Parts: sequence; C-alpha cells; structure tokens
Amino acid sequence: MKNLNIRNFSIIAHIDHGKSTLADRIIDLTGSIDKREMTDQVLDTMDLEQERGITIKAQAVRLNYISNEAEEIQLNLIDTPGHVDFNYEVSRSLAACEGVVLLVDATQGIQAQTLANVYLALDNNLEIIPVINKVDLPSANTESVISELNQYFGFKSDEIYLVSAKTGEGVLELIEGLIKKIPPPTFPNDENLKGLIFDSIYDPYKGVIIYVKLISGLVKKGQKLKFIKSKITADVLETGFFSPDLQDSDSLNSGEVGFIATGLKNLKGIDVGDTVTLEGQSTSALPGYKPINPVVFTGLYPTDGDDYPALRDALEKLKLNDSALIFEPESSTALGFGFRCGFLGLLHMEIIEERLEREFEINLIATAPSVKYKIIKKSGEELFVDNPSYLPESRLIDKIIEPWVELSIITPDKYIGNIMELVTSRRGKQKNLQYLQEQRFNQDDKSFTARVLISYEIPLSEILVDFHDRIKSASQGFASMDYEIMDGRESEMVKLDILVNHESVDALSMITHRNSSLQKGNLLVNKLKNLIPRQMFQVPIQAAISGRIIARTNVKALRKNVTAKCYGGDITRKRKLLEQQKAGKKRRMKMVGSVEVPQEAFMAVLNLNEPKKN
Amino acid sequence: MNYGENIANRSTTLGLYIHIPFCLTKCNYCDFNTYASIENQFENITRSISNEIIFWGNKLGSPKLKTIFLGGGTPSYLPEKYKQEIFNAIYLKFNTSECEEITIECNPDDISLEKINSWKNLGINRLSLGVQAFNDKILKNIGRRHNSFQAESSIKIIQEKFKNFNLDLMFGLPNQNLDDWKKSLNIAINSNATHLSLYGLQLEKGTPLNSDVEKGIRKIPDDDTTAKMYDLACKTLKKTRFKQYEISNWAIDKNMCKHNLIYWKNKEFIGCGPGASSYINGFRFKNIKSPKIYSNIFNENPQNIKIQHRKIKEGAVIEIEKQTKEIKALETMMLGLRLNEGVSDTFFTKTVGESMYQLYGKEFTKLKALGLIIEKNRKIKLTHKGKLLANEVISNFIIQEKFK
Repeated sequence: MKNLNIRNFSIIAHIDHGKSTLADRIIDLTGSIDKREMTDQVLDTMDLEQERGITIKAQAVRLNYISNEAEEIQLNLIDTPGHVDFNYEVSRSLAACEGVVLLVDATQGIQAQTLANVYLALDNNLEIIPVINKVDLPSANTESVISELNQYFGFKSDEIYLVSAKTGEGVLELIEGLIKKIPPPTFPNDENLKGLIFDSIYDPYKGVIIYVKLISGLVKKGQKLKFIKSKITADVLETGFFSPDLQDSDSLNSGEVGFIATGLKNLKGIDVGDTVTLEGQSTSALPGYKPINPVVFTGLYPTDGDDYPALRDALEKLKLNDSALIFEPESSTALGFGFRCGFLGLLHMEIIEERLEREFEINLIATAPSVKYKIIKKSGEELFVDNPSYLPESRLIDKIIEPWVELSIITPDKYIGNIMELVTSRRGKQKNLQYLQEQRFNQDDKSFTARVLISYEIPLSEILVDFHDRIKSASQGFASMDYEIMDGRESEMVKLDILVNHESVDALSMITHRNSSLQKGNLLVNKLKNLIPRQMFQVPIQAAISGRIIARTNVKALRKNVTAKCYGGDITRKRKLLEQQKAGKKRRMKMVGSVEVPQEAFMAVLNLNEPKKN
Repeated sequence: MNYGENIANRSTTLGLYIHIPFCLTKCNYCDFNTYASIENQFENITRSISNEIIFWGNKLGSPKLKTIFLGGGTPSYLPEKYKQEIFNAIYLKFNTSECEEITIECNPDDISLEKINSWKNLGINRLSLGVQAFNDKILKNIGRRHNSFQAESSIKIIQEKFKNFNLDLMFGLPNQNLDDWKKSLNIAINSNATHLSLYGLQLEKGTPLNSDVEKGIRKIPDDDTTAKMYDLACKTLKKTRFKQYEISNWAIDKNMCKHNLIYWKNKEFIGCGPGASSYINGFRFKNIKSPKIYSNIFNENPQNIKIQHRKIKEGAVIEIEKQTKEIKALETMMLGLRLNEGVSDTFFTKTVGESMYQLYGKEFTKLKALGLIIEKNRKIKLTHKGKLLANEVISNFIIQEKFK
C-alpha cells in the first residue's frame, strides 16, 4: 500500500554547503511557519548549532504543500547533521525517509563528507536528488561542479537542480521535482501498528517523547503502547507532528512521521531503533540501527572538585538524547574524581565538552584524548585500554593493536605535497588518488589545477589531536576530510610518563608510537616548563618511558614576590590581597605533590605537534 | 559594632597619620589615593582634615601621640598656611608632650630654605624625600617632575636644617639596569641621609605604566634582575653604617622610622584624611577615599558630626573590621616578618592569645626546609632569600577554612 500524499526526505550536505538555509527556504516557500516566527536556521535549535552553523541533532518538520497538480502533499523534512561524527544521527533520519536531497556548494564542489553521506543514502536505497546551491555567487563554479557530480556519481546534467537557497531561486522547482521523484512511503497491508523510533527526548511534563515513523497501522491518544525489544508498555498521552515545534494531532497514520508522548519518567529501555506497536497487537521488530561504538576517549574532570555531582547529572542529562555518549567514573591522583567518556569522534567530543561548559556551567579539565587499544599480554590474556594509566607494564605485553581508519581527503591538486607530508609524518599510507575533474586553467594562479580525492590508511590516534586544523592550513582551507574506522593493527606503542618534581602525573601520561615518543616527550616538557609558574624551589620536569628518562627540563625557582610597603598603614587591604591571591590560586591550581600546576598544563598535551608552518 | 566605646583615657601612645591627597602631577606607577588638579579643594579638605583631627582628639580624650606622619600625596606641595591649620588642630586636641617623631614626605622640587624653616617651626623633625633615582632618563620614564640635579641640591638644603632624613629610592624601574641602580644607591649612601627606603617597583592595575608594560611600550627588568638589584643593595649597604631593620628599610644608628614601626609592630594609630586607615581597640577601619565626599562629611563643626551614609558608620569610615584570632595571627606574621628582628612567640602569644607554634608549627617546618625562614630563641625571621619571597611565605599563614 502507498500513502500517495506523503513524501519523507532529508537534506544531506557537507558542512557549510547551505543545508539549514535550504531547509529554511523550503519551510518559507511552503508557508508552513508564520513569517514572524521565522528566524534563520529554524531547525538548528541549540545555541551551539546556530553559532557554529552546524546541525547536531536531527530535527523534523511537517510541511503542507499544494503542488502544481493541485494535490495536497504532506512533506516531512528531516534535517540531519552534516558531520561524520554524527553519522548515526544521519542513518537514523535516513531510515525514516524515502529520498534525499544531495546538496553541493557551487563554490566548493564535492567534499569529503559529501561522499560519506551519499554512500549512506545508497546503503538505505534512497532516491538521491542532486542539487547545486549558491549558484548566484560570483565565485560559483557551477559548470565544474556539474562535471564532478557527473564524473563521480554519474548524475546527468538535466537531473541536477541549480538553486540559491539564500534568494530562493530554483527552490520551488526543486520542491516540485522531489514530489515527482521521491516515492511515497510504502507500507504493508497490515492493521497492526509498527513504528520505528528514530529519536527521543525528555519533557518534564509529558515524560519521554519518542519520534517515530509509522510503517503501518494507526496510533491515537488513550491507546497503550508496547516497545517490542525492551517490552516496556506506556500510555499514549499525545500524538502529533513537527511544525517544527511539537504540534498535537488526533492520530498518526501509516507512512507519517511524528511524535508520541508516553508519560514515561525514565529513559532507560527507550532505545532508538526499537519498534513500537500497540498492546494486544503482534508485529515483528524492524531491523533497527547498527550499534554505535565510541572510538575516542578522554577523562573529564570538574575544575572544582565540588562540581563532581553536577558533572554526573549533566552527563546523564546529555545521554538522554545522545545515546552515543558513554561515561563511567574514574579518578586521577592529580585531578581527583571525574569520568572517562567515550565519543564517536573529535567533533562529538568537542560538542559535549562545550555543552557541559555552556549549558551546565561546569568548568572542565579534559585529559588527552585516546583511542581504545587492544592489548595481548604474554600470558595470552586480552584486554582493552582507553586510559594510559591502565596500560600494563611493557614487560607483560606481547602485542598492542590500535585502530586504523580510512581517511579521505579532497583537495585541489596543488596542495597534494603539503598534505602528503603531513599525513606521512603521522604514519599514514596513501592508498589511492583519483581526479574528480579534468585539469583546467585557473585564472587566479595561472596554472592548471583540478580537485583530487586521496585515500589514506592512518592510525586513528594520529588524527585525534590537531589534525583537521593542520589539513586546513596545509591547503589554505580548501581541503576537506572524512574518515571511517577500518581495522586494528599491531603497533609499537609505548606509554610516555611525565614526572613533575620526580612524581609521575597520571593525567599527563599518554600512549604514543615509539618513533615519535622522544619528540613528543621533548615538546611536552618544554611546554610544561612555560605553563607551570615558578615555585619556591626548582621543579624538574621529565618525560620517561618505562622508568627511563628521555627528556628533561627545569622550572627555575621563584626569586621575588614581595610587597614594597604597607602604605599609610592600610594593612587590611594588603591582607585581603594576599587572601584573594591564595583563594584564586586554589581555584586555578591543582596540587601535584608540593607543586602547584595550573589547569592549562593539563591541556598542554592537546596541542603537541611540531610547530605550525605558515 | 562600636569601636568608639571606652576608648578615651588610654594609657598607650598613638601614631597619627595625616593623608594629604594632593599632587602637582601624578606619577605613572602610582595608585595611591592622590589627585592632581584639585587645588581648588585645598581649603575645604584642609578644614575637613582639621575637623577630623579635632573629632578624634575629642573622642579619644586628647591622647598622647608617639609619632606624627604627614603622607600623601605630596604634603610638601600643600601650601604652608594649610599645614599650619592642620598642626594647630593636632596641638590643640592631642597631647604631643612625648611625641618623638614628626615626619613630612616631600618632593625634591618643593624644597626651599624658606619651606624647610617653616616645617621646623611646625615641629617637624624628620623629612622623607622622594628621590626614587639619581638618573634623569629613568626619572622621566616614571613621570617624576624633578631631575637628579634638583634632588641633589634639595638634599644639600635639607641637611643644613635636618639631621634625620630619609631618601626613597626605587629599583626594577623601566629601562633601569644594575649599573644605574648601583650609581643611585652610591649617591644616596654618600649623602648625609640617616635612613634609606628601597622599594621594588610594583606594577599596579589601572596605572598608565602598567598598561604601557602590558602593551609592550615600556619594558621593566625581569624578576631575576630585580632580585639581583635587591641583593646588590643588601650587599652594598652591609659595608656602610646603614643597617637593615625591615625588608625595604635601612637606618643609621637609632634612626629607624618610629611611625612605620607602629604599623609593623601591630600598635595603634589613627589616620585622618580621605582614604586613611586606623587601628584602634582591636578594630581596623578606613575612611572613604573620595576627597570630595570626605570633605563634605567633615565640613561641619566637629561637635555635630553624626553623618549617616549608606555604609558610613561614623565620620567618614566606610570599612570596619573587628580582628578575629585568625586575622590577628595572620597580620602579626605579615607585619612582624617584615622586620629583621622577626616575630617572637612571646609577642605573638600576647597579641593572638595562642602560641605561634601551635597555629603554624607545620608551616614553619616546611618554610624552614625551603630556607625561607630561620628560627632562633623562639623567634621566627625571614632569611635573605625569604625577604624577596615574603608574600609566598606569608600566604602560608592564611588560615583559609576559617575565612568564609
């Protein structure tokens, strides 16, 4: 069966290619939101999303549109994140769609994440509608982008829509086009309710609200829901759709996308990917989603130890609608109590850290990010380690296996050399190089150039810190990158310990490749030397591997801190000044033995590569 | 809280500090409560200061003074007739029969024989001259009006009439090197001064010099060089008749500044004038800083002063603090350790009511191990190394949990 009047679709695009602007324009042109309520980037509701110009959480909106054939069409636009770290959000959304709009920027062409998104859409058997955006810009290279889409994906020129999401040029044609090309949702001839949960949020009044796409059946207020996998039951308090705020409706029907408020007070057991039906009905579970595995780990510690319970609460709240986030308590001698957190990637980690600091106002210290290593001991025992502190002694280790990724970089060919140099310095190996277009004469630098797609294999640990920025600076901002976890390979990894005043500081140790350990040790001790203020005694800073010192330096003893005089007997002022200074120090400094170490020092490991070349 | 009860008819003698908030120009490193271009307030403020002196004299029952100190600002810049008015009030309402030391701070470009004579007539017996450096380029760098020639000539005039005078010198100044410092120091040593105050420059927030240094327009010597300058001074002065008795102060024979010793030994004093601090009967308090508001408050007949301002408890006082045990302990260490003689447990116990070993035993052990203090005959003193790190040492005596 088909519901001919419904189209469910997503827009997929590389960051900054104008996805949210196009969504805004479609909402605008279908007249679904009052002009007065229209703010830019309607679907990016988090401050962070609007500021960074990225979408983190999938959002959905129902648009009612009268087509040129005078049909009333219900368009469900499901906005998706553009970044690879949030692919799980993308795949959720895509599972609720029958088609996608593939958006490519006319000034930039295909980018690394465009490829990843297209592969996802192909995996889901979705109709792909290619669209080139920003064709009105003077710097638009529309012809060249058409040839890329043609050459790389095989789209014919007349299939490609040319739009300016900003001015609205071509957008109505696109809407008409997608109604014609994207198939309406099909559903089995089945009265039983079957709905795929693709997201969930918690509302203090309505409890858990699940976002669903109904494959079959009908659901309305007052019925009793059943979650097939978790076997939880719940009342249907409310049903409705997204406009984009939640909007009540009497019922949700087959093929529709909407929400169900359940009144459940606990999100435990509400798994995205689960299937809902009604009590008393029987249906089979949908395939659901691939389980998501975090690949990047870091220790998050509150700057102020008193914030530990607040940090735990905040992480629990974030986890409610970010099932990819994992965390468990850990403690560090230097930093006290905190959490080991796992993320899908670097952006995911950054976003969570930023949300904790902004939305929950918790000041954090993050330790150096790590990947998960598989350790095979000489005894044959196997274990996984994502925290350098838990790496067994080297004499007990037979093998260390680290995750490798397939890295795709798209860049104008004149930067190949720079990028190659960077990637090989990080143990990367080139696998493939493919031209995306014919070389053509570039007026700006009077030479023949073309864009290329280069694939590399590289250890994930090598791109964790400061890699994306380096790629950007190696290519004057033109290159884009994406990666996918590939496999695990044996590597010669060592634990690099940092000793401050002869005491090992757990929060500063890291697992690194033997070949770069000396360089990293030197960089780190010298960085720490500049970050640790002079104390009342000389403080040696050393880097060591298995107890052997490989780098050392000293923070010289403080020579002078004295007030000239107590003028006119204003003793209170001087006393208060000293008290404030001491309280301030207590806030900013962590004691490592008898040495006061500022928080910035723990972040030193986050930027530890060879000095930038400009 | 009333610090005014039962404070009359006291047996101890007091120090009296008078704050003169005027300067012809303000130096670029200075963050004191002093102002240029408010000469139109000479009269009002003088009257108010005199009124405040009378107010305290009445309240305390004409107590005995041990010392008087005219500081500022630039007291030498205030015209003589106003200083006369202030001294009239002091002599009228305080008992100065046993007063040992009356100091005025002055600027080299204010010195003339006529003024020196007039100060002598007021009863002043000690001068403190703000020389800072005998180097014209450096003086200019820190916004001083005088040059080294003026400084040397004014010393010649002073020594004719005053046996006891101090020179203020500063080190760690913009563009100053060890050699410049050595030269200034030697000129000071070879003058007839009986007292030297050697102050390391402190960059204070909000001063023009501070922002120049932050912006990189001016450079000051690094901490290591400044520390060397201090070491050099200590070493050089050891070979002279000057004896160090405080972190920044040296005196020949018994010419230590008695007024400053009152502060360092935690004894009582009254401060009059805008922003002046007082310590009496276990209370520390402070006047409002603004000369204008201050002068409005005290512009009335002292008998009638009962002004209720939002934060003003009595007179121009804006901040008042009863000393708790923890504060007393910290202040006793903070002040006493500045002196070469250090802090004795007898004195500490008398002031605080508990032995310093009981309160700070652990801290003493740590600081001794670091070579910052030494202990001798139940007295704690700073070592030479400790003197330059006095703030670090003192921070150990803050009993943090109890200050909430």
